[in-house]
Amino acid sequence: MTPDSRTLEAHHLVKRFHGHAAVSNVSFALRPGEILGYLGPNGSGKSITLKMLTGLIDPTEGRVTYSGVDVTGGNIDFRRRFGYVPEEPHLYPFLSGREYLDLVTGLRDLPARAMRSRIDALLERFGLAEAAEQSISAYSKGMKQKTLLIAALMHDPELLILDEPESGLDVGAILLLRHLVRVLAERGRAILYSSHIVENVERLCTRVIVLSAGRVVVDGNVDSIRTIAPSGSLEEAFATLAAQQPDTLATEIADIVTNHA
Amino acid sequence: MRRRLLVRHFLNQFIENDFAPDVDRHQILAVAAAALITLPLFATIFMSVKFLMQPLQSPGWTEMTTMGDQVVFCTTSLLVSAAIATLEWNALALSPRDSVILGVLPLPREEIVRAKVLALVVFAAAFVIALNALPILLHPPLTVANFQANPLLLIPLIAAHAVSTGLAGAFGFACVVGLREFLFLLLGERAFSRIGGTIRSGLLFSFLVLLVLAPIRLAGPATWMFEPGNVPAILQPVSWFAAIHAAMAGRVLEILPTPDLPDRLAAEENRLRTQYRRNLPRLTTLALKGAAGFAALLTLSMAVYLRNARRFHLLPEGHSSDAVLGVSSLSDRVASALTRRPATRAGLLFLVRTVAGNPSHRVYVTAFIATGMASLITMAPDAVFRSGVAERPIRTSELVAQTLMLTAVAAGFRAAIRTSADTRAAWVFGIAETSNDGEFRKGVRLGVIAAVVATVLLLFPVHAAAWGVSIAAAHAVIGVALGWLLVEVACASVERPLVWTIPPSDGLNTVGVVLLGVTVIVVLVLGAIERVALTTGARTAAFAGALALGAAVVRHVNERNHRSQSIAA
Repeated sequence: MTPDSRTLEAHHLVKRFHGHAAVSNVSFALRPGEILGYLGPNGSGKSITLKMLTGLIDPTEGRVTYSGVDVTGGNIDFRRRFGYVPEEPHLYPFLSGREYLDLVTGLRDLPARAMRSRIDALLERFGLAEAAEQSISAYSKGMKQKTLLIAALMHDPELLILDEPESGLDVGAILLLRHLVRVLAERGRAILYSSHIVENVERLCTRVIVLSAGRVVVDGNVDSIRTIAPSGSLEEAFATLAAQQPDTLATEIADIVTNHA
Repeated sequence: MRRRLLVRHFLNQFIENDFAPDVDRHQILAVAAAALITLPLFATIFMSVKFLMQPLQSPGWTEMTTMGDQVVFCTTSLLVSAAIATLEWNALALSPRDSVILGVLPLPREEIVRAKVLALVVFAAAFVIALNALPILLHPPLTVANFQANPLLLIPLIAAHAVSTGLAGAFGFACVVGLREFLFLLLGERAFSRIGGTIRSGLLFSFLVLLVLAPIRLAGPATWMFEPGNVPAILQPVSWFAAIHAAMAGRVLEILPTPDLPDRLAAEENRLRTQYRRNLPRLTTLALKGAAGFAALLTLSMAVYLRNARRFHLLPEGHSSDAVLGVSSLSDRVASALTRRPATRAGLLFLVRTVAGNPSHRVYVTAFIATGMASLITMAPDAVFRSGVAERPIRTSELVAQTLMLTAVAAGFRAAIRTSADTRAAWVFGIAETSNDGEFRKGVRLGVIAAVVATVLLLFPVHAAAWGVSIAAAHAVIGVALGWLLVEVACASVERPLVWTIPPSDGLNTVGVVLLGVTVIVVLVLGAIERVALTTGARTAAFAGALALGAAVVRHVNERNHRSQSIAA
């Protein structure tokens, strides 16, 4: 496998639940050094696509390849190469942060001694060193998210699949995450960055896919997508593509809240 | 190495279970571990006293008595193991959380599943061994202590006890695992997650009722085992494992020396011995049937388990409510009928939904109600099982049954409301609180009163069928008044029901035994008073009135205390 061939490809992915298509005909390629933004409103099928890519769920149709090898439904070698931060902070509440990271280290078959210093350093840099021995049940959402980020990074993956990684993080941590993603991309890691926060995607991603109701409505670079909105704003372009009318909706909600009929 | 790590991780999950709330987990585990050791110890000594107190102990009597004891041991082992498996319901298979965390790691799914199965087997085996260890080591020696027989004879007796109770426990555990996996296969992920909570509660309730009833109803010689065709279906598995004990230990007991017995006892011994010898081949056949049944259950359960584990299940936890089905709409209607005040209504609905949806709260209430139900069946079997108005005086024990049931309901709800629904979510009450949090407390209390009244109403047809409508109605009126008093007592000192941020501790755990003794005396005294009160309408009204007055006084005192605490805070 040559470094250049390390491309993740989704080929016509479809996922149906009880006949309803949650994801329809999604195709894209992600190359080393690229940060691909995966944008879409809640329920548009972003997380389902990511779960299909990681092999957590099988696509109803289509396939996933990495370096030309079919990895649909999961592949042990492929799993060694990616790091994944899920949308929900799935962690075992009865473990401490360090215990969780030790567990992942062991299950990834990584050398415990070498990893210990790496984990210590990562806990320190993410500001979790003091809380490392505390039970995860006592963690804030941001602390859980940082723990997940460390678990996804500690084996130095070629590919990072991040599902709303900024969720629960404070401003400082979001800035850190943005810089980290950029640096990792510069060092040849491929990053799939799923989010519904347009600003993050706009500042980070070289290319953006916008998903609406399970379908890819646009796949291009940030500048080309901006042209969709008359104002040239990516946020407005996103709202247009996702068929959202935030101003009208906001007025309706305010009417409900303030009218005491 | 990786397998060991996974197995250890899955074993941790059995201990860090969803039924034990975070704040009380270690205390609950310590109490459970102590109970696991001490209860079988006391039960074994209690059951062995009859052997030690038998001055002329003979082999025939020993064989028959041991067989009866073994039925109780096997039943207890089976039911306790099944109840524990039910408590571990969500940890029995890979959870959606396991799938998301472990599914993306470079581990073959088969390795994860194998580790989970191994952890399940290790947990079940460790639990069954811990539960039965003391009875295994103590009961056989105490059974034959009077014979002064060769100590080597103890080895087959201990082995027989270990195999029979061990298999019974494993059978109980495997039954629950098999049932869960079969339902998952039959219903599918979505439907199973919707009704899993209801099934779990129903199973737990049934096991606990049977567990309390079993030692009482099954004590004594188990001669029913000699007629396998007549063994009730529910006792079939127990008869298999008790028969395994007889098949293994029977021939050892046969060679015990017979003491010189008076003629009458010698004749009885001869009859018992002949009966046992004649039926030993039948018991051996039953034992073989048991071994085959156990093997079939294990094979089927494992096959379904592995089939379900062929893929990861990702339905998010909390995607569907774990609550008991239908509770939400029913509680809405009850709350609307009982109160219009928003805070009171919120308290009532929060109580109902927490008890229905939160595993630890559900376990408390289910365990207490199951104990109450078992007491009811034990104390008033005629009232419960025989329909038709009987021309006979009503026994105090029958009247006491309703009181015990109501006490169990009130105690169960007290345990539940003293436990926070979620300490981290309690902030919402802090900011939503108005100047009068008494309304919220009132709603919770109203919910407990509704549960008590519902209990009385459910018992009414049973009592009406046994004693006639007029006496049953009078008993129900007294029950409602008594229930109200019990609820007021149960809610005493619970200032912030379900929404504690710091768990309350009133030392009730340490005085629990004393409290239990006092409760029994009070319940018996109340039963005796009620018996007199039921003789005329005026006395009934006076007794019910006195109870209601007591309830009002306790409530007034409680509210005054809460108000003074609020002011002090």
